[in-house]
Amino acid sequence: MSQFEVYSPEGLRMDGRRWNELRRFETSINTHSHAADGSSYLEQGNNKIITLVKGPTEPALRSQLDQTKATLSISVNVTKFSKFERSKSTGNTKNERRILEMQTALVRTFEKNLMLNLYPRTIIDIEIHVLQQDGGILGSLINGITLACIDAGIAMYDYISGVSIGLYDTTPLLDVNSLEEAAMSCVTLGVVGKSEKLSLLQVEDKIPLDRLENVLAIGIAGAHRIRDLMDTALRAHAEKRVLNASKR
Amino acid sequence: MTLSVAEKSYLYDSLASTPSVRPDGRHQHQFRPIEIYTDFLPSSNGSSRIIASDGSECIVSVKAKVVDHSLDSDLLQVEIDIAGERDDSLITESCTSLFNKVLRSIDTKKLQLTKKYSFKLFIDVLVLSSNSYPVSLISFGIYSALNSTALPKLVSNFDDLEVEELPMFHDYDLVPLEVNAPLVFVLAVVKNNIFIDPAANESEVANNGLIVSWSDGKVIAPIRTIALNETNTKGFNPQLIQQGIKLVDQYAEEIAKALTNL
Amino acid sequence: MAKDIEVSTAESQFILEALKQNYRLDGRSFEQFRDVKITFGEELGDVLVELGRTKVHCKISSSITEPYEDRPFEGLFFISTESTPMAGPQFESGNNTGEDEVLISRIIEKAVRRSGALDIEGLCIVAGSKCWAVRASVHFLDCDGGFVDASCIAVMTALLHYRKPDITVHGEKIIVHPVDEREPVALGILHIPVCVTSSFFNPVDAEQNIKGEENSEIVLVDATLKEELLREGVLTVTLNKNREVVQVSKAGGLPMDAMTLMECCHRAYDITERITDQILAAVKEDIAKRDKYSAILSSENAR
Repeated sequence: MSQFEVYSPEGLRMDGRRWNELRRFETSINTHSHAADGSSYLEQGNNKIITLVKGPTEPALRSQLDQTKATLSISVNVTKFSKFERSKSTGNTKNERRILEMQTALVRTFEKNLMLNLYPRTIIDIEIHVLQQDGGILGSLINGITLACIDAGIAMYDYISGVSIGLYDTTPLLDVNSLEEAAMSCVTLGVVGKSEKLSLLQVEDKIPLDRLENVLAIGIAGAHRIRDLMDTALRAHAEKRVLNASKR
Repeated sequence: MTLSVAEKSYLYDSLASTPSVRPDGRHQHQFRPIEIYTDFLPSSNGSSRIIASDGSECIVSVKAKVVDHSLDSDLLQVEIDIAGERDDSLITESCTSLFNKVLRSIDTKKLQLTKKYSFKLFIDVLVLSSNSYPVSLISFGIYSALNSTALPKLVSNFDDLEVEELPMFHDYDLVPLEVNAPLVFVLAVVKNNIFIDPAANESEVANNGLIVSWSDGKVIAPIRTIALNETNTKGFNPQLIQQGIKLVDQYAEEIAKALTNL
Repeated sequence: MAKDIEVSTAESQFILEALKQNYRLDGRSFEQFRDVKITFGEELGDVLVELGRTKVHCKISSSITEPYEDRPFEGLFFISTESTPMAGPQFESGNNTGEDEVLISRIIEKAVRRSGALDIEGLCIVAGSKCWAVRASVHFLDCDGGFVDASCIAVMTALLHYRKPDITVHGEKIIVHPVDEREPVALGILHIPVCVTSSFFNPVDAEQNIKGEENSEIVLVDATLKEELLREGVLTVTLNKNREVVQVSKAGGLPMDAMTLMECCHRAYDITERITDQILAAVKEDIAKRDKYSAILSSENAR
C-alpha cells in the first residue's frame, strides 16, 4: 500500500477517520422474520452481514441432541462476490480452514454467553451470510450474532461486541478496514458487555509485547462503544414494535 | 410444507375446478407481490435483492472482469448457492444448469470491449430462503441485477489487434449495461388448469410443473417440466403446455416492463 | 473427533476440587511448564520432542520445484500436521477437519509460517523458475495435552537442525551437490517462535464469571490431557525472544479479564526465553557431535 498513506502526520486515516473512531455502524433486527426466528442485518463500514438464527428447534440428527443443553451450530457463508476481486476458488469456500477456524471460534465464544442449559435437547442454528467484507470481519460477525440472538429471544448473559484494532508503528487504529488490515498487524477482540472481560482474543501478526496492553485498552473502549450502538438500535426497534402493537 | 389430507384434498379440488379458485384469491396469471432493491453492493458492478411475500429471498451480484475472448468464449457464468443445500445437491445443480442455458439467449456482443477483449460477467446468486421452487425469483433477481449493472467506460482504441495494448477505462464514468435478460416462469398444472407462480401450498398439490423461459418479446428454449412435489406428480394433457406458453406470452411483457421501471 | 474421551464425574470433581485448593494432579505449580526433552534422529531435521508424556515428531524434507507465479522470489514452505489414532482415541485418521485439529494446525501455521520464521526468500534459486520447497511434517505420536506447544518446538528445532544440500547455479542449470561431497547449508531462520498455552477453569458459576468483579478464574500453564478435557477456556500465546507477540489465539471459551490475559502473556515470555535457549543449545550440541572432523580439518590453531 505504498500509494496510500495509512496514517497521515495530521492524524488522519485513509478513509478520513481519526485513530479512535469507529466506522459507520448501522444495524437493523428482525429483517427476515419469515425465514428465521431471529435475524439481523449489520453494516459496519463496508461489511454487510446477514445473520439468521433458527431455533431452538428439534435437531434433525440424533448426534446433535444433548440431554443437558442446546447444541449450537454456526455456519459462515462468505459469498464469492464479497470481496472487491471475486474469489477465484472453484470449489466450496465453506470448507476452507480459515472459515472452519472462524466458525469454531464463534461457537466457542457464544457457547459461554448463551444460556444453552435452558434449552436442553434442542439445536440453535446460526446462519451467517457475508455479502460484502472490508476488514475486521470476525468482529462484525460477533456483533451480527449478538443482535440476531437477542432478536430470537435466546437467553444471554450479556452483549458480546467485536472489534479489530490495528497497530501502525506505535499508534493503535480502531476498527480497521481491509486496506489497513493488509498493511499492519491486527488484534480482534470479543468483549463481554461493559466489562473488561474478553471472550475472544486473536492476534495474527507480530506485535511488540509491551504495546499489546495499550491496544487492548483501546479495543475494549471501542467494543463498549459498539455495545452502546447496538443497545440504542435495539431499543429503538423495540419501541417501534411496542408502538405498532399497541396501535392494533 | 406439510399439509393434512383434508387440506390437500380441499386445495386440489378448488384449484382443479373451473374456473380455478386459488387459496389467496389470485388470478391465473397473477404474481404474488415482490419487493426489489437494486445496487446495494458497492463492490459489485450490479446487484439486486428480491423478497417475495412469503419470505423467500434471493440476492444477486454481477461482477465483471476483462478477459481475452479468444481464449475464454464463455462470457456469462452463473453460480447459484441455495442456503441449507449442498453445492452438489440436485436442486442447486439443476438451477445452475438451467440458468447457464437460459442466459445463452443474451447477446454477448454487448460485452465486447475491443477486438481482443471482452467483459466476462460473473453472476452469483444467493438464495437465502425459499418456500417454493425458486427459479422464477432467481430470474427476476438476475433480470434486475443486470439492469442495474454499470460497467467502466472504455477510453482506449477499439481496434487493438494492430497495436497491442490492454483496454483502458475512464476513471469514474460508467456505462449502463443494456442487455435483454431472459425471465423464467414457473407454472403449476392441477388437473386441467394451469396457473403462474404457485405458492408453497399450491405446489404441494400440483400434478406437474412447467418452466417456461421468455426473452425479448418471445418464449424461448428451454421449456421443461418439473415435479413440484413428490406425491401428486403425474402426466398432464399436452395442450396445457400450449396454454402455459400462451399465458407467459401474454403477460411476460408487462412483468418485464414492471421490473425495468423500478 | 472420532470418539470423545470422557472423564468420569468422580474424577473430574476430584481434579477441579484439587485445583481450587491449589494442587495439580502431577504436583506441578500452576505456572510451571513441563520439562522439554529434545532428541534428534539419524538424519538432519529429524526431531522428537517430548513434553511430559506428549510426543511429537517432526521431519523436514526439501525438494526443488517451481515457485508460485505471483511470488517468483519466494520459495515454498509447507507445514503438514497429521493426527492419527496412534496419539489417542480422540483422533480419527485421514480426517483433519475436526474442530481441534483445525485449531491446532491453524495456530502452528500462524505461529511459524505466517510469522516468517523461515526466510522463504532465501529459498529462491532462480527467480520465477526454480526454488526450494521445504516441507515440515508433524506427527503426533502420543497425546497428553499441549500439542500446539510441543509441535511448535518440534518444528522450530527441526528447521534449525536441518541442512539442505548445497547447490551451484550456472544460468538455468543447477548442480545439486550430494551431502557427502559438500557441506550442506542451514536454512535461514529469522526468529524462533515458541507457543505457550494457558488453560482456564471457572471455580464459581457462569453468572459469577461474567457479572462478578472478583476474577477468581484459575489459570494453568501447559495443561495435561485430563486438564485439557475439563478446561473451559484456552489461550495460546506465541512469542519470540525479541519480545514480540507473534500470535495470540483465544477462540472463545470462558470470558477472561484483559489484565489476566496480559499476565499470561508476560508469564509466557519467561518460558519462551528459557525454551529458546534450550532449543538453541540442543541443536548446537547435536551439530557439534556430527561435526567430529571439523577439529582436524580446521586450519585454525590454538594461538
